[in-house]
Amino acid sequence: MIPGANSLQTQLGTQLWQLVSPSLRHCWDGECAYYQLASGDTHLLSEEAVRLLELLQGRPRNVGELAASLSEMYSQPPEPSQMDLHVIALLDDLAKARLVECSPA
Amino acid sequence: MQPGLTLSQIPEQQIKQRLKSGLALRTGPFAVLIRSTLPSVAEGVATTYADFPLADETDFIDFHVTLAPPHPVRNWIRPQVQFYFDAHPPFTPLPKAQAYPLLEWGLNWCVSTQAHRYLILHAAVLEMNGYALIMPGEPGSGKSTLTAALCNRGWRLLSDEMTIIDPQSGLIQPLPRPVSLKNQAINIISQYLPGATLTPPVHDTLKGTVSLMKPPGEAVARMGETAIPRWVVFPKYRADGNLAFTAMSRGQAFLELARNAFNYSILGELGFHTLTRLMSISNARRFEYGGDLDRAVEAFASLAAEP
Repeated sequence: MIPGANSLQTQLGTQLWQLVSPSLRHCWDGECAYYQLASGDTHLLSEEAVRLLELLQGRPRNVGELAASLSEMYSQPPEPSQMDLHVIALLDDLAKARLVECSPA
Repeated sequence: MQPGLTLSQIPEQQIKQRLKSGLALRTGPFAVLIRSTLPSVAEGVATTYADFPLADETDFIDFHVTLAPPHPVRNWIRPQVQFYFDAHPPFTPLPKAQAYPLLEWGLNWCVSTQAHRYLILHAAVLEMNGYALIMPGEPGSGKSTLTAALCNRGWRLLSDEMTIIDPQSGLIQPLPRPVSLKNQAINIISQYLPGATLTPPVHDTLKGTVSLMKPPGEAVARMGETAIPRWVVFPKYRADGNLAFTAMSRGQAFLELARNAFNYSILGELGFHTLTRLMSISNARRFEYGGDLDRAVEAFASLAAEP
């Protein structure tokens, strides 16, 4: 169980995740250099995290929709409930890096 | 002034005279005008810049620098020296005995804070067969010791301190200047390269004891020849360490280079594109070595021979 996952899951019912600002990226072998245009910060992210950021640009309605889209990256995707938790954990990491933020729905 | 004239073609007494009014030298893509009446500066410049061309009267001078006492009285009582860039002192004064190292530190400061038409990494860089080896390194990593050894064993010195990348072409612009050796590295290189020319050690600086090694003549003669990035190697000296290269991801190397850059954040988007382009055509490794310079030189020769 991911600590804090329950509270985040609750939040996701009433809040939307969105990108903090547009960005540039460049990927090599599963890792991506990610440059945030507004802040000038540079991050090293997994390709999976970058895919999640791309998916957020499509304004998904909920975490389930994000998880379903992210599952397409895998040849053997995890169970949907596991994938939801995984997405929540990824979003949490990205929020700590100030790459995404929550806003009221 | 005659075009193509090098400093070694001028008698030392004349160098001292010219330094009083301003001696203009070319180093890599820059021209620098140095003024000083201090004998140690004249001796250091005459020794380590002997092969460098004088700038001619039509050259644009990038940096006007002066080394002088901060106050006339400081020539005599607890003598000090101040570095001036365009008549402004960016640093606090240092003891007069540190005048020549201060010139080198000051010139590094000029390039790293002013030359933003380039992306500048805090890294040594050498060239072989047209390809560049970039070596970032923390103090104590043995970067300058390795650089001094390699540039006398088949590699061309592009810079001991700063890797200068042209964002337009992605190529590395040489900036060969004296190699800064510190503490034990001075003895190690004196023994390893008995023919090398080093300035007298200056003790008790902020970096410990410092000596500057004259760059090889070939590095100066070819300072207009750019190089294509190919290897990024992070050296680490460990007294009891075995010699070994270990693989490193491009992403991790990118991040460490960005942190090592002087002006990555100033260049913003351009810095990001320049560095990702560099990493896309380079491979990255860590290199640990225990001070056996012959074996280290062999290891880098093998690296250069890889297809």
